[in-house]
Amino acid sequence: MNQKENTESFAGRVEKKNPFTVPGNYFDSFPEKLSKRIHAGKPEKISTVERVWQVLRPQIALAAAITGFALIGYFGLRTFVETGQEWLSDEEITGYMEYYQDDFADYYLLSLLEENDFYFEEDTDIESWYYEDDPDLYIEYLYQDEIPIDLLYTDF
Amino acid sequence: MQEHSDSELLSLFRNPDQKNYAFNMMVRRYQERLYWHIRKMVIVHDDADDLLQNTFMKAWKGLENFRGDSLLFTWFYRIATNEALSFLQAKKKRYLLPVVDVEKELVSSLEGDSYFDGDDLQLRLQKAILTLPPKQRLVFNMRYYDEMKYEDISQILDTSVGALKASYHHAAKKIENIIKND
Repeated sequence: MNQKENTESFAGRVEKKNPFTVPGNYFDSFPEKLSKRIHAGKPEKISTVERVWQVLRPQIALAAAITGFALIGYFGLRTFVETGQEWLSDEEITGYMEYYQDDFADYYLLSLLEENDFYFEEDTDIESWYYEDDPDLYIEYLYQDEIPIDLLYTDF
Repeated sequence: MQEHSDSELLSLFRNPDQKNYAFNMMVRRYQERLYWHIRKMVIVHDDADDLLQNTFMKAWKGLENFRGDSLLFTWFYRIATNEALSFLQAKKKRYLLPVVDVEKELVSSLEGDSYFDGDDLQLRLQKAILTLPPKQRLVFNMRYYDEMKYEDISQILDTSVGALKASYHHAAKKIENIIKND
């Protein structure tokens, strides 16, 4: 195949020359520029750990930032929602309940009885109402020498 | 300045005291041919400059192991060709563009290139050349502008002479049609 035949039709109309140019003195200065690049200090080698750290650092920073924002958001929201409310521990709640339960038993019950015209008989030992919860009184009672056994059964 | 053959320069390069001198001689001998070879592929001067530097950097590192199975200039051309093709491939991947869009971008660069002083016909010829696939463009440029022998192109591109002739024939036909109908 004659190559001239392939190109002569447009080669006859288009001048066969290189239409590109370069900046002035480009080829004169290129060897020196290349030499500088070749002999420039090689970049410092980075250890594998440093390389891995460099890759992971932005991701860890991002994760830490997201966690930080989430915590700030959570505690901020919680503070906002709980404003003006007192939260009691389980022990405090139990204490209150026991305290008011006793208070109710002693005070409210007696008041209620009085309000309803309920009176104790004269020989009723009112104090014995209070003995019920004191084990020492029971023990003292049991140590009495002369306790008829039938009375003990009756009491209990 | 004393002229050395390529084989003499290679011998000098293997001598640590003469290494820089020998390589500098090689650069001065081949820089222009390699530059134009790259420039016609990537169009933009700055890109061609980068790729020419990369070509010689790779040659500097690989020349120690150059066994002389091919001519020195063929070896340089092969590195430069691979650099240019890799650059175009990377450009296509970077912008997620099909080949045709890369070619359009090259045409756009050509039209705005301050280092292009061809007339309107030469601009049309370059645009027509840019319609060819990269490897066919390489064959056309090496044969038409550099007037290289098919045997040398065959060594550089690792393609048979017959395939190169067919490729050049199709490229020339296509360009002829584009210019005729333009």
